[in-house]
This record gives sequence, C-alpha cells and structure tokens, in this order.
Amino acid sequence: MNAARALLGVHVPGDTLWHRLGPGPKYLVFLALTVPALVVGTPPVILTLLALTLALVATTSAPLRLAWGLPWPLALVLAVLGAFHALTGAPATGVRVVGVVLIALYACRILLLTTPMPVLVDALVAVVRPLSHLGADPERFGLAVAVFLRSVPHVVASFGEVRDAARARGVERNPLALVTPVAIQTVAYARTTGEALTARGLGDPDESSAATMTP
Amino acid sequence: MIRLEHVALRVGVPDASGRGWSTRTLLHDLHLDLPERRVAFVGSNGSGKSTLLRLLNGLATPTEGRVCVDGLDPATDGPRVRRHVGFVFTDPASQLVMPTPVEDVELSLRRTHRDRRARREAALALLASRGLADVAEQSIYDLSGGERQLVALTAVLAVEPAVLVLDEPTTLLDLRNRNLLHRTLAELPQQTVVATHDLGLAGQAERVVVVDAGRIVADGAPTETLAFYERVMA
Ligand SMILES: Nc1ncnc2c1ncn2[C@@H]1O[C@H](COP(=O)(O)OP(=O)(O)O)[C@@H](O)[C@H]1O
Ligand SMILES: [Mg+2]
Repeated sequence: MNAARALLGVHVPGDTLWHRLGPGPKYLVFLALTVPALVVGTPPVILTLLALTLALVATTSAPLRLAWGLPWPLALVLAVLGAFHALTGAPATGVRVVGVVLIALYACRILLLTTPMPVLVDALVAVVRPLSHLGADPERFGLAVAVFLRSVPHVVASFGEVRDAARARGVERNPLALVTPVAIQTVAYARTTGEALTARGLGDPDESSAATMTP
Repeated sequence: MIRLEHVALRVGVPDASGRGWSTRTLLHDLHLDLPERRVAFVGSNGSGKSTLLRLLNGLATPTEGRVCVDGLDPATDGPRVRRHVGFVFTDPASQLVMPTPVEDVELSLRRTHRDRRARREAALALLASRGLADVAEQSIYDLSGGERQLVALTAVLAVEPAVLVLDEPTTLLDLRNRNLLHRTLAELPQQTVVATHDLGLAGQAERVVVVDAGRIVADGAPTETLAFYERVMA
C-alpha cells in the first residue's frame, strides 16, 4: 500500500521552503522542469532535468522512500518501454519517453507532497472561477481533481491485490487474470465513489448564500 | 416524516438467453409511514434493503408511486433532499474522498464556511467531539475500520442533516467498534433509518421492518418482528 499511496504523493507536513510556497509558484516549478524536457528531449537534457527533479523532490522533507519510490506496475511498464526502444535501435527515444514520465511524476510530487489537499482544491477553484460565467463549475472541478488524485492509489493498490490473488491461484502469467479484475474493481470503485459524492451533495449546484468560496 | 406511497421499483436485466431484456421487480408496492425516530430494516442479502434506503435520498427513483421525506420528493428535489438526508455507506473507504479525516470533514463544510481557517477549526472541533482528535491528521489508510466509519459519520453529520440513513453501518466492524457505533447512533438527535444484519442495532429501534424479496413481511416493535425474523429467516 505504501508504494501505491506514494505514486503521486500524499501530503507530508513539514517546514521546508516548499511548504511555505503557495501552489502557484510550485506549479511554475513543475512547468520549468517538464516543459524543457518535452521541448528539447535530448538524452543529456532529460538526464540532467531528471537528476535535478530527483534532487528537488528529496528536499521536501518526505522520506526518500515516499519521494523517490515507484510502484512496481509503473516501474515494470517503464522498463518494458525503455527496453523496447533500446532493442529497436532507438535508445534516445527510450530515454526521452521514460525520462519525461519520470520528470513529470517527480515534479508533480513536489507539489503534492508539500501542499495540503484543501489548499490545492482552493487554488484550483480560484483558477477556474473566471470561467464560471462560461458555465464551468469551479467547485466541481476542484472536487474532480481531488477525487482523481485519491483514486490513483486505489487503482495501483488493486493491481497489487489482484497479483497476489492470481499468484495464489497460479495464474499470474495470464495478463487477462490481472487486467480483468483490476478493471472491474476500478469501475466498482468509481461507482461507489460517485454515489457517495452524490449522497453527500458534493456535486450539487450551490444555491445558498455561501455560493462563492474565497480561496 | 418519511412516507412511501405505493412504491414499486423495476429494472431491466439481460434475460437468460443473453439476447433480450426482461423486467425485474426489486420492490413491490411498498406503502409505509415512518414517523418513528429510530427505524430499522432487516432482511437477507438481496432482499432490497439498500434499494429501499437509496429511494430516501434520490440515489434510486421509484418506477411507480412516490417517496416523501419531510415534505420533499427525492425524485424532483434532489439537491435539497441530499442536504436534508445524510447517507452513510457500509464501506467508509468508498465515501471518504480526502486523504485525511480533517480534510474530508472540511470538504463537507465548504458550503457553510467560506474562510479556510475557520473551516479547519470547525472540522477539528467536530472530529474532537467524536473522540477523533488524535487521528484527525492521519492518513485515512492508517485508521482502524471503526475510526474510519466514525470519520465518515462525522463528515456526513457536519452538514447537519435532519435525517440520517445508514446502510449496514456495522457489517465491517468488530465487536467493540460495533458497540461504539450503537452508542453513538443511539445518542443522535436526528431521525435515523438503518438497514442492518446486526440484531443488536435493530433491537435499538422503535420500529423494525422485515423485508424479503422486495416485500414487507413483518413490521412493528423490535421484540416481535425480530423474533419473527429469526424464526422465519434463519
Ligand atoms: N441496478 C440494479 N439492476 C439490477 N438488479 C439490481 C440493481 N440494484 C440491485 N439489484 C438487485 O436487487 C436485489 C436487491 O438488492 P439490494 O437492495 O442491494 O439488497 P440488500 O441491500 O437487501 O442486500 C438484489 O438481488 C440485487 O442484485
Ligand atoms: Mg445492501
């Protein structure tokens, strides 16, 4: 569960510069790390940015296990991707594809490890607010992002459980035995979460006097 | 008061051949007035308890008939009914959205507390009032099942609903947490409607309704109806 929880990072309280920065500046750091990787994408640039991102995420006061750890399904997928490109004669592409994913992931962790969820939701709501006269619902948007972030560890964890169950039955080499239950569990999770949100009235339009929330 | 007027609920299900659809009746012509403050529904798995509870806040709508909760119709007045009726699910993990208890209760309070700091203080106070002060900032993954169910309850009660509906709230709990939840529910000022297999919890109600295959087969004081239930269903 720990690796699963840590995929995108759960807020780890602390007193670092990162914790004092608002979500906005941290988002700029995220862009500063990922955009050059996407635009330039040569192995030296990718490797430098990856090393820099890893160094920065290590300064968040989160244990390195949380800051650097990767859940095994993701590590496996990335290893296969990299190996495929290396073997088909395009190692530079392999470095770029795997590197960009890792840079984006770790840069995202800097934000998520050092920002409490309510602060993040408030920031998102504030960003979307100017669009509300176009029909966007900022509260719903903030909630959707929070729910998405919350669902990631569930899906990753269900991979772990399903692999154990498949092992117990001796069918772990059959990809269908892994993918089918994970898909079913994910849909079931989405349904129950959706119902719970509806039941709590969280998706409902706001008609009370407290219609707008100050960020 | 909660009122079900000749409510029937039917759904389409794939028929045995797998090609066409047929109709399945989940609830048959239920007619109930529930003025009591403590109501319990009991019945075997698949008897229709959850479906019935879901009618009360509009998660399900009747195919026939009408539901009325304190003058509101869940089918047409969704948002107001959901603010009026709190709903607690069996598995708290599916209804806790935020990573920590305090953040989840804060989420409930977004509508009523504009200021972030005031919101957080109110959330912490609510958790403390249920004995959850020590776990308020822990990851919800690290809580015990009982603590998680209490957090879910606190988050639902934070918006001060007038009616609380609980679907098998003790099914996943051990004996000690079950007893703690019994005591907590007994003290609530709200009208509570529970579906449960927990005869201890049902025994606390003023009125117990036994459901079987989508029909009401017994209805009355807990001593008689639970005796009937144990005799007939066990
Ligand atoms: N949306 C649906 N479509 C088809 N069948 C359903 C649906 N919802 C529930 N059922 C069926 O209705 C019956 C009653 O379910 P439910 O109300 O969950 O029972 P209980 O909560 O008493 O165990 C079950 O047989 C269930 O499979
Ligand atoms: Mg049920």
